Amino acid sequence: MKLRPPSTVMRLARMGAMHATRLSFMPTFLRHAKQQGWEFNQAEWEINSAGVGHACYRVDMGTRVYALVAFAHDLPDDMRSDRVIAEAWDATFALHDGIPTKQDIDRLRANVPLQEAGRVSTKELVLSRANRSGRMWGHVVDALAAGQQPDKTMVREIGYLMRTTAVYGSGKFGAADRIDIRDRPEFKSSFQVEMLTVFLIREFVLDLVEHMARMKGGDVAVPLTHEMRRMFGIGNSTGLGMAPFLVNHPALLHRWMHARETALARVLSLQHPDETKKRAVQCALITACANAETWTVQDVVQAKAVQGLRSGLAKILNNYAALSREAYPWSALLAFAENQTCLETQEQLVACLLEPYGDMIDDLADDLQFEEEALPRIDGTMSTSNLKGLIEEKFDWMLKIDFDKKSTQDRFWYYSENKYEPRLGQRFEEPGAELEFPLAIARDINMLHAALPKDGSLAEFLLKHPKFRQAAFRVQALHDLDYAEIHDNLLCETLRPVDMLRCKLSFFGATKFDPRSDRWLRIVMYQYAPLAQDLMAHEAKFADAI
Amino acid sequence: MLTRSEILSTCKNAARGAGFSWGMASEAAIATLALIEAGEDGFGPLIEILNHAKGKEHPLNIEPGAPICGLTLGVYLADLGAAPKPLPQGIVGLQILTALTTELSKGAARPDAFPPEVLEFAAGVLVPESELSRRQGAGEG
Repeated sequence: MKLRPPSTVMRLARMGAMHATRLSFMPTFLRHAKQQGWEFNQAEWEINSAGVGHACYRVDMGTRVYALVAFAHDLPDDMRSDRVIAEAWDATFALHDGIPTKQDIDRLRANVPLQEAGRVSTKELVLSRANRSGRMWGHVVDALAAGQQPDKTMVREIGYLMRTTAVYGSGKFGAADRIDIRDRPEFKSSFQVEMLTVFLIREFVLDLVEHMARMKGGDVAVPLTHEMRRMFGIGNSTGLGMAPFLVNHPALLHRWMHARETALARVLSLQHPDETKKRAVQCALITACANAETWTVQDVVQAKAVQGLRSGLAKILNNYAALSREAYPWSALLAFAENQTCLETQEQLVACLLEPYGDMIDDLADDLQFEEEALPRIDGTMSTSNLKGLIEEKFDWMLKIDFDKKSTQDRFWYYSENKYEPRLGQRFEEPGAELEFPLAIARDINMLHAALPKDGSLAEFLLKHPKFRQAAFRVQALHDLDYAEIHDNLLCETLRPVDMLRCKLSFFGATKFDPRSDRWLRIVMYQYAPLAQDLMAHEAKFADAI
Repeated sequence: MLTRSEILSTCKNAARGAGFSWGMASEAAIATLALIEAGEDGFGPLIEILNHAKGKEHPLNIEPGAPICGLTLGVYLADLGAAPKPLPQGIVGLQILTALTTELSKGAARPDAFPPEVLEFAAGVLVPESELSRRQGAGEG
């Protein structure tokens, strides 16, 4: 079974065009929740008429209970900011491990609203916060208070009432380390605890907007219809803070990509898919077309990509009848897309091809974790000539970049004094390049290759040249993991960090990617996804939305 | 209680702030955490090493006779998968060397806070945010 090569898949231009698939972490979470019969309920609601107070949402998984503790605040409009350095939010959250006691709630009330300035404990798994959508919130409260449903077109286009500006897990600000929970079956796949948190936040936000409408409209107010509730997801605003993740977790990135490419290869290998599957792929393409029509962005590059997606999908659908009659139709369809359409369309097609094949590929989503500390440590007994040979064999593309050119080293990554946040600077215009942090993988391995002597052990070499230690480690530890490294220069003047963010967010299952510059973007999570009540209902139309 | 990831990231930044390369800094952080999880003092030997390394040219000299950096020698020995016996005298932060070259027990409670010296060293990796960076959208999201 042939997988698409890393030289195709691991380019930033393509990674920045990737779409959510059924292997993404949100659909995986929803499938598990449904299959395992998890019970969701609103356990506490102590929110006043001004929308201030706390609520608690529980999920009972049979063996364990988790609880989202949500705090609603009365935030003046002028304090609402998506910047990560903001200090106040419309709502703040913690996911608690178990059923919180009154003392837990009091402790969380004193800390969670402060976010980074507060401290949670190892009884908490996630810390998060969200702000209202300026456009959507007031409209929905007013409409419901007046006894009407909100404007469907607007809801479809915006897709959320609140957007999170951070979802911190893995030992941040005192919360439990990932190692503490990684053996729990419910968190076996990647980012499942974060996906659970956002799912519960969505439930809370929907209940809060109805509460505010009741406070305003009294008896006249109506709740959202079920159909309308499902149209709302949760927004998210993500910036450079997320960008280093893919570089700092190369073995995990390999797992994600390898699973996705294996899934694609399985589907492409089908010689004569049955008619039901052919109709299902066609349906997925038609849905993708409809979604592309409501995908509006201001960013010039992304707007062009969306335009390309619309015309690309139309081309595919126009040729669908003929191509789907061929032997190996999915290969034929992808080859057609590769010749005739843009990357955005090709990657959307990949997602559509995977959609009807859960029975063949969902197993690949079940074990998408990897702890980087499990990578082997440096073997200093290796000869420098062997390491050099390994670089030439497996990282040859890095050797082709001329790092003497100013444009290839134009950027540098650093930690800002503001909250230790990662930033991207311009090497020749800003101070601080001597403190850059190590995301320059291609440059460093290129320089390591040039510096390695013909003879001697790696241990001796690294003793004299410790600056190459990380590069040597990556060559040794990752040379057999084809999808571990991004095949692009992360210092290049043409770098668009949003491509790295888009890739990671597509694995989350995000939609409506909306770059606001080349270094931050907004997205929507769980739009049209089942609600908690749907997951618990036996007759739920579950599969149609995920 | 400090989390493992907080200890790893802060100690890594501290070692980088003292002048070690990122690869060496990562080893320093892993060794410090290993000592702490074994119920030993991890920050003390780390601080000794960072004070010893601060302001010196890197790589640090490990010739016998002069004080030897326990991180530098420990990493070298771990790379070779061997620990020589006996070790030379005058190793700075010997416990870090031990953590790098032997398997320690785990499960001890972690401290509640970092010593101020570790935080001071860690601040050495921070760059003041430029107006250019902010204008281009850094900090959003």
